[in-house]
Amino acid sequence: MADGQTYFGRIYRRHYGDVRRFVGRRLAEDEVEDVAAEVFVVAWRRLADMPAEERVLPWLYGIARRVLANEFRRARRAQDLAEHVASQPEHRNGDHAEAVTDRVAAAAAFDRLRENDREILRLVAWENLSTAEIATVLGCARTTAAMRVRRARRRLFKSLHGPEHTRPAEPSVTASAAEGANR
Amino acid sequence: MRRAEQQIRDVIQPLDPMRQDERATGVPPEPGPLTSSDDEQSAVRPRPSRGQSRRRVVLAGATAVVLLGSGVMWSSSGPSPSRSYAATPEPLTIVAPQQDQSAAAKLRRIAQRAAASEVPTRATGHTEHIEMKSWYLNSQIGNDNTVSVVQPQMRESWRKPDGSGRSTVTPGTPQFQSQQDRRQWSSDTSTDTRTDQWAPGERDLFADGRPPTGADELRQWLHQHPSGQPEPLRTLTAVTDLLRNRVLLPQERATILRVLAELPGMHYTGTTRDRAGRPGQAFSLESDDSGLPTQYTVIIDPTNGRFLGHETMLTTTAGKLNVKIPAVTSYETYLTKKFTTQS
Repeated sequence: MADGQTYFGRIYRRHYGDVRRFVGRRLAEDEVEDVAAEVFVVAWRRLADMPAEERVLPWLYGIARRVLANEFRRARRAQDLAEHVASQPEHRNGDHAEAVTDRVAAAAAFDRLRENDREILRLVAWENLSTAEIATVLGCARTTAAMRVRRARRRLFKSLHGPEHTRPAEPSVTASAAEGANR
Repeated sequence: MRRAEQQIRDVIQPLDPMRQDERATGVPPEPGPLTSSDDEQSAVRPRPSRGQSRRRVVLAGATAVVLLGSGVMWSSSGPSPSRSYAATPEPLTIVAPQQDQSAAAKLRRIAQRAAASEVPTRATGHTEHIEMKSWYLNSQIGNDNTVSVVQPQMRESWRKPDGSGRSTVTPGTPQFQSQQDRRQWSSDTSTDTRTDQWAPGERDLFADGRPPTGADELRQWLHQHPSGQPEPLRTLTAVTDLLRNRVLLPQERATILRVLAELPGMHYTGTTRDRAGRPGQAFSLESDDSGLPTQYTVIIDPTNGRFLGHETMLTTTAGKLNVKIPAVTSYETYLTKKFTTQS
């Protein structure tokens, strides 16, 4: 137990910020702290399953997705990306108008995608994960993860360059966030 | 594949809403060993770590000072040249939130988790068992000096469904600042275990029935006993009295959290670790109704709404007490709160 607690403590200190940011990209700010804490509570309960240090972060992200899936029933989700980008003060102070427009357009294109694709894009771009790590987070095969990355990229660029359209209907947030977790 | 990933990053990475968080500092206390299924509290035991021998409590003296429950009440008379400071427990290490967060909203969310927590479980006819560790700064203030003693204690209680029960209190070794203080101290500092028993109906402090699960009904129930305290301290004190005496079911905890959420002045202080080493969130309110500006803090497990403990701390002035500000003057830590078949 002592060794486990030492190991857990090291993992916690090293990755708390990563988990906090993971949660913060998906949930409203005032919910983030509680959910990040809950992720590590679950991780502690599953200490026996905790992988080696170099592979632990995708595992923590997988737990975070399941905690978020439960939390989404009552919590507020993060605001749309385009709304967030447009609200950033940097865009009002000395930023080139063209760059601002590009970022807002990219954010709007992101918002128009289905949640499944948005999640893939987050994992690639913001969590900076490899395909193998994404497979761990989603609980799917590596080949499946690779295919989903390619599809998400294709849909992103289509959304960027295609005519504006509304976001297609998508499965419930809870089911979407939990996807892969039970495979 | 790497090209696809890089293309995605080129477009999406600059949009990361948590970019600013990269610079964030302050990692909250880490979770430790967690709850057993039947215990309202964490199964973790107190860590014999920093400051345990230095933690103090204040008790009211016959000469001028009175400390009651979780509140500190005193009056003073004459000059008070303190010779030395009583060593009080270190204030809790609290990691403040990066931005102000609504205590009411957080408490209501924790209440939702409490209601869904399913701990503790209860079977009809079971006894409520509470194990609590406490520290109170005990002081006697005379005309020309202040004498303080620190004496922690462990209290265990068993309450049967009919309201009868028993308790044991085991005081720890009293700690004085000097032999002179020891000689001057006029109250009992025995370390003998004291046992108390009571029959149904002999205890009236939240002893009968279950706490209501409606907020309005609970407020009335909490106010059933006379109190000289104004709001919001009155309600907070009643809640801590309740916590000291009863094991709470999930819906009952949820209702208490909703009542606390409505208290004026209640604010979210941040994440912390309680005196038993368990992670929690601190919610505080300030009041000088006890005679000195005092911060009252409750520590709550945000994942299931368990109350881990509560503390009082003098914030701006110590009056005639020989303590350095900020000074923790009392805390109570709930180590066990569960239903049991043993009595």
